[in-house]
Amino acid sequence: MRRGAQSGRKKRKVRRFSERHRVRVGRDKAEALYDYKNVPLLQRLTTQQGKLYSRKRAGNTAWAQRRLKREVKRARFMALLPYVG
Amino acid sequence: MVKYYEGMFLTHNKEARKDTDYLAAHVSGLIEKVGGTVLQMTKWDERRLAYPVKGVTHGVYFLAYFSGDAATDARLRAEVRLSSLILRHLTLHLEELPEQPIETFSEMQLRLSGGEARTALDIPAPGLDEDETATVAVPRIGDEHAPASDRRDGGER
Repeated sequence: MRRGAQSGRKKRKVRRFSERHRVRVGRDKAEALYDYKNVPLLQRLTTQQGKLYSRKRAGNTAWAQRRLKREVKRARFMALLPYVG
Repeated sequence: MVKYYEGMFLTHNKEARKDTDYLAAHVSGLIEKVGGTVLQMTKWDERRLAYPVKGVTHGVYFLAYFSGDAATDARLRAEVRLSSLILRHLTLHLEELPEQPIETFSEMQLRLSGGEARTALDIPAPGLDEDETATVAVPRIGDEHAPASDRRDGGER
Protein backbone atom coordinates (compact mmCIF):
# COMPACT_ATOMS: atom_id res chain seq x y z
CA MET A 1 0.00 0.00 0.00
CA ARG A 2 1.31 3.39 -0.92
CA ARG A 3 0.97 6.02 1.69
CA GLY A 4 -0.36 9.41 0.83
CA ALA A 5 -1.51 8.38 -2.59
CA GLN A 6 -4.88 9.98 -2.04
CA SER A 7 -4.01 13.17 -0.29
CA GLY A 8 -0.43 13.99 -1.15
CA ARG A 9 -0.72 14.00 -4.92
CA LYS A 10 -2.83 15.96 -7.27
CA LYS A 11 -5.42 13.71 -8.83
CA ARG A 12 -4.59 12.90 -12.42
CA LYS A 13 -7.10 13.89 -15.00
CA VAL A 14 -8.56 10.71 -16.40
CA ARG A 15 -10.56 10.10 -19.48
CA ARG A 16 -12.69 7.09 -20.10
CA PHE A 17 -11.48 4.92 -22.92
CA SER A 18 -14.14 4.52 -25.53
CA GLU A 19 -14.30 2.41 -28.63
CA ARG A 20 -17.90 3.12 -29.36
CA HIS A 21 -17.29 5.04 -32.55
CA ARG A 22 -14.99 2.43 -34.02
CA VAL A 23 -16.06 0.54 -37.11
CA ARG A 24 -16.35 -3.16 -36.51
CA VAL A 25 -15.45 -5.42 -39.39
CA GLY A 26 -17.37 -8.64 -39.15
CA ARG A 27 -17.98 -11.56 -41.40
CA ASP A 28 -20.03 -9.77 -44.05
CA LYS A 29 -17.64 -6.91 -44.63
CA ALA A 30 -14.62 -9.17 -44.48
CA GLU A 31 -16.07 -11.51 -47.07
CA ALA A 32 -16.89 -8.64 -49.35
CA LEU A 33 -13.69 -6.67 -49.00
CA TYR A 34 -10.82 -8.82 -47.80
CA ASP A 35 -9.30 -10.13 -50.94
CA TYR A 36 -5.67 -10.49 -51.91
CA LYS A 37 -6.46 -8.44 -55.01
CA ASN A 38 -7.70 -5.50 -52.94
CA VAL A 39 -4.18 -4.25 -52.39
CA PRO A 40 -4.88 -0.66 -51.24
CA LEU A 41 -7.13 -1.90 -48.45
CA LEU A 42 -4.58 -4.48 -47.32
CA GLN A 43 -1.95 -1.77 -47.30
CA ARG A 44 -4.08 0.33 -45.00
CA LEU A 45 -4.39 -2.57 -42.61
CA THR A 46 -0.65 -3.19 -42.46
CA THR A 47 2.25 -1.12 -41.22
CA GLN A 48 4.85 0.43 -43.45
CA GLN A 49 6.91 -2.67 -42.84
CA GLY A 50 4.08 -4.89 -43.99
CA LYS A 51 3.04 -6.21 -40.60
CA LEU A 52 -0.62 -6.62 -39.81
CA TYR A 53 -2.28 -4.18 -37.47
CA SER A 54 -3.79 -5.56 -34.31
CA ARG A 55 -7.41 -6.62 -34.23
CA LYS A 56 -8.14 -3.81 -31.85
CA ARG A 57 -6.73 -1.22 -34.15
CA ALA A 58 -8.18 -2.62 -37.35
CA GLY A 59 -11.56 -3.20 -35.71
CA ASN A 60 -11.70 -6.78 -36.87
CA THR A 61 -13.59 -9.61 -35.28
CA ALA A 62 -11.53 -12.74 -34.75
CA TRP A 63 -12.99 -14.30 -37.87
CA ALA A 64 -12.27 -11.22 -39.97
CA GLN A 65 -8.71 -11.01 -38.69
CA ARG A 66 -8.03 -14.61 -39.68
CA ARG A 67 -9.47 -13.94 -43.11
CA LEU A 68 -7.33 -10.83 -43.43
CA LYS A 69 -4.24 -12.77 -42.42
CA ARG A 70 -4.89 -15.31 -45.14
CA GLU A 71 -5.40 -12.67 -47.82
CA VAL A 72 -2.29 -10.73 -46.82
CA LYS A 73 -0.25 -13.90 -47.12
CA ARG A 74 -1.64 -14.53 -50.58
CA ALA A 75 -0.86 -10.98 -51.62
CA ARG A 76 2.67 -11.34 -50.30
CA PHE A 77 3.24 -14.46 -52.32
CA MET A 78 2.12 -12.70 -55.48
CA ALA A 79 4.53 -9.82 -54.73
CA LEU A 80 1.64 -7.40 -54.27
CA LEU A 81 2.67 -6.74 -50.67
CA PRO A 82 6.13 -6.92 -49.13
CA TYR A 83 7.21 -9.64 -46.74
CA VAL A 84 9.46 -7.09 -45.05
CA GLY A 85 9.37 -3.37 -45.57
CA MET B 1 -17.10 -33.15 -61.18
CA VAL B 2 -16.42 -29.74 -62.57
CA LYS B 3 -14.48 -27.41 -60.34
CA TYR B 4 -14.04 -23.71 -60.76
CA TYR B 5 -10.73 -22.02 -60.22
CA GLU B 6 -9.40 -18.52 -60.07
CA GLY B 7 -5.86 -18.20 -61.27
CA MET B 8 -3.52 -15.26 -61.08
CA PHE B 9 -0.35 -15.33 -63.12
CA LEU B 10 2.59 -13.01 -62.70
CA THR B 11 4.47 -12.64 -65.95
CA HIS B 12 7.62 -11.02 -67.10
CA ASN B 13 7.23 -7.32 -67.79
CA LYS B 14 9.69 -7.19 -70.64
CA GLU B 15 7.93 -9.96 -72.47
CA ALA B 16 4.61 -8.24 -71.90
CA ARG B 17 5.92 -5.03 -73.37
CA LYS B 18 6.73 -6.87 -76.53
CA ASP B 19 3.43 -8.64 -76.90
CA THR B 20 0.69 -8.82 -74.26
CA ASP B 21 -1.59 -10.88 -76.42
CA TYR B 22 1.05 -13.52 -76.81
CA LEU B 23 1.41 -13.79 -73.04
CA ALA B 24 -2.34 -14.03 -72.56
CA ALA B 25 -2.45 -16.74 -75.18
CA HIS B 26 0.45 -18.49 -73.47
CA VAL B 27 -1.37 -18.53 -70.12
CA SER B 28 -4.67 -19.69 -71.53
CA GLY B 29 -2.82 -22.21 -73.65
CA LEU B 30 -1.29 -23.73 -70.52
CA ILE B 31 -4.71 -23.98 -68.88
CA GLU B 32 -6.17 -25.64 -71.94
CA LYS B 33 -3.22 -27.98 -72.13
CA VAL B 34 -3.88 -29.39 -68.66
CA GLY B 35 -7.51 -30.03 -69.41
CA GLY B 36 -9.02 -26.81 -68.12
CA THR B 37 -11.46 -24.50 -69.85
CA VAL B 38 -10.81 -20.77 -69.68
CA LEU B 39 -14.10 -19.07 -68.86
CA GLN B 40 -12.90 -15.51 -68.43
CA MET B 41 -9.54 -13.88 -68.61
CA THR B 42 -8.13 -10.41 -68.32
CA LYS B 43 -4.91 -8.51 -67.98
CA TRP B 44 -5.39 -7.61 -64.34
CA ASP B 45 -2.71 -5.03 -63.75
CA GLU B 46 0.78 -3.93 -64.59
CA ARG B 47 2.78 -2.81 -61.59
CA ARG B 48 6.04 -2.62 -59.76
CA LEU B 49 6.50 -5.71 -57.60
CA ALA B 50 6.74 -5.39 -53.84
CA TYR B 51 10.01 -7.31 -54.03
CA PRO B 52 12.03 -8.65 -56.95
CA VAL B 53 11.00 -12.07 -58.18
CA LYS B 54 13.75 -13.90 -60.04
CA GLY B 55 15.46 -10.55 -60.54
CA VAL B 56 12.41 -8.94 -62.10
CA THR B 57 11.07 -5.74 -60.56
CA HIS B 58 8.06 -4.99 -62.77
CA GLY B 59 5.43 -7.48 -63.77
CA VAL B 60 2.14 -7.95 -65.55
CA TYR B 61 -0.63 -9.88 -63.86
CA PHE B 62 -3.21 -11.96 -65.63
CA LEU B 63 -6.36 -13.09 -63.88
CA ALA B 64 -8.44 -15.99 -65.14
CA TYR B 65 -11.49 -17.96 -64.14
CA PHE B 66 -11.30 -21.47 -65.44
CA SER B 67 -12.94 -24.80 -64.88
CA GLY B 68 -11.51 -28.27 -64.73
CA ASP B 69 -11.41 -31.40 -62.66
CA ALA B 70 -9.74 -31.97 -59.33
CA ALA B 71 -6.34 -32.69 -60.85
CA THR B 72 -6.25 -29.63 -63.10
CA ASP B 73 -4.57 -27.50 -60.48
CA ALA B 74 -1.76 -29.96 -59.87
CA ARG B 75 -1.12 -30.43 -63.57
CA LEU B 76 -1.17 -26.69 -64.13
CA ARG B 77 1.39 -26.19 -61.39
CA ALA B 78 3.73 -28.61 -63.11
CA GLU B 79 3.31 -26.84 -66.44
CA VAL B 80 3.80 -23.37 -65.01
CA ARG B 81 7.05 -24.42 -63.39
CA LEU B 82 8.42 -25.21 -66.82
CA SER B 83 7.35 -21.90 -68.28
CA SER B 84 9.97 -19.19 -68.24
CA LEU B 85 7.43 -16.45 -68.92
CA ILE B 86 5.38 -17.01 -65.76
CA LEU B 87 7.21 -15.98 -62.60
CA ARG B 88 4.53 -16.83 -60.04
CA HIS B 89 1.03 -18.11 -60.04
CA LEU B 90 -1.71 -18.60 -57.49
CA THR B 91 -4.69 -20.87 -58.03
CA LEU B 92 -7.72 -20.73 -55.78
CA HIS B 93 -10.62 -23.12 -55.81
CA LEU B 94 -13.92 -21.27 -56.07
CA GLU B 95 -17.03 -22.71 -54.49
CA GLU B 96 -19.06 -21.20 -57.28
CA LEU B 97 -18.36 -19.04 -60.27
CA PRO B 98 -18.69 -15.32 -59.44
CA GLU B 99 -21.77 -13.73 -60.94
CA GLN B 100 -20.06 -10.53 -61.93
CA PRO B 101 -17.67 -10.62 -64.85
CA ILE B 102 -13.96 -10.68 -64.25
CA GLU B 103 -12.56 -7.25 -63.49
CA THR B 104 -9.19 -5.62 -63.65
CA PHE B 105 -7.54 -3.96 -60.69
CA SER B 106 -8.74 -0.48 -61.64
CA GLU B 107 -12.27 -1.70 -62.28
CA MET B 108 -12.31 -3.35 -58.88
CA GLN B 109 -11.14 -0.18 -57.16
CA LEU B 110 -13.75 1.82 -59.02
CA ARG B 111 -16.49 -0.53 -57.83
CA LEU B 112 -15.27 -0.48 -54.24
CA SER B 113 -14.81 3.27 -54.10
CA GLY B 114 -18.55 3.89 -54.40
CA GLY B 115 -21.46 2.92 -52.19
CA GLU B 116 -21.33 0.96 -48.98
CA ALA B 117 -17.75 -0.12 -49.30
CA ARG B 118 -16.55 3.41 -48.79
CA THR B 119 -16.94 3.32 -45.01
CA ALA B 120 -15.12 0.06 -44.56
CA LEU B 121 -12.30 1.23 -46.79
CA ASP B 122 -11.85 4.09 -44.37
CA ILE B 123 -11.37 1.85 -41.35
CA PRO B 124 -7.84 2.83 -40.40
CA ALA B 125 -8.31 6.52 -40.76
CA PRO B 126 -5.22 8.67 -41.17
CA GLY B 127 -4.12 10.23 -37.93
CA LEU B 128 -4.29 6.98 -35.99
CA ASP B 129 -0.53 6.67 -36.02
CA GLU B 130 -0.10 8.76 -32.90
CA ASP B 131 -2.67 6.65 -31.12
CA GLU B 132 -0.85 3.47 -31.88
CA THR B 133 2.41 4.72 -30.42
CA ALA B 134 0.54 5.91 -27.36
CA THR B 135 -1.00 2.49 -26.86
CA VAL B 136 2.37 0.86 -27.14
CA ALA B 137 3.98 3.31 -24.78
CA VAL B 138 1.35 2.71 -22.11
CA PRO B 139 1.23 -1.02 -21.58
CA ARG B 140 -1.88 -0.98 -19.43
CA ILE B 141 -4.37 -1.72 -22.17
CA GLY B 142 -6.74 -3.40 -19.76
CA ASP B 143 -6.82 -0.25 -17.68
CA GLU B 144 -10.10 1.55 -17.83
CA HIS B 145 -8.27 4.80 -18.17
CA ALA B 146 -7.31 6.03 -21.57
CA PRO B 147 -3.74 6.09 -22.83
CA ALA B 148 -1.98 9.41 -22.83
CA SER B 149 -3.78 10.65 -25.91
CA ASP B 150 -7.49 10.06 -25.95
CA ARG B 151 -8.74 8.42 -29.09
CA ARG B 152 -11.73 10.68 -29.20
CA ASP B 153 -9.37 13.56 -29.72
CA GLY B 154 -7.12 11.61 -32.03
CA GLY B 155 -8.49 13.13 -35.19
CA GLU B 156 -10.08 9.93 -36.32
CA ARG B 157 -13.11 11.62 -37.74
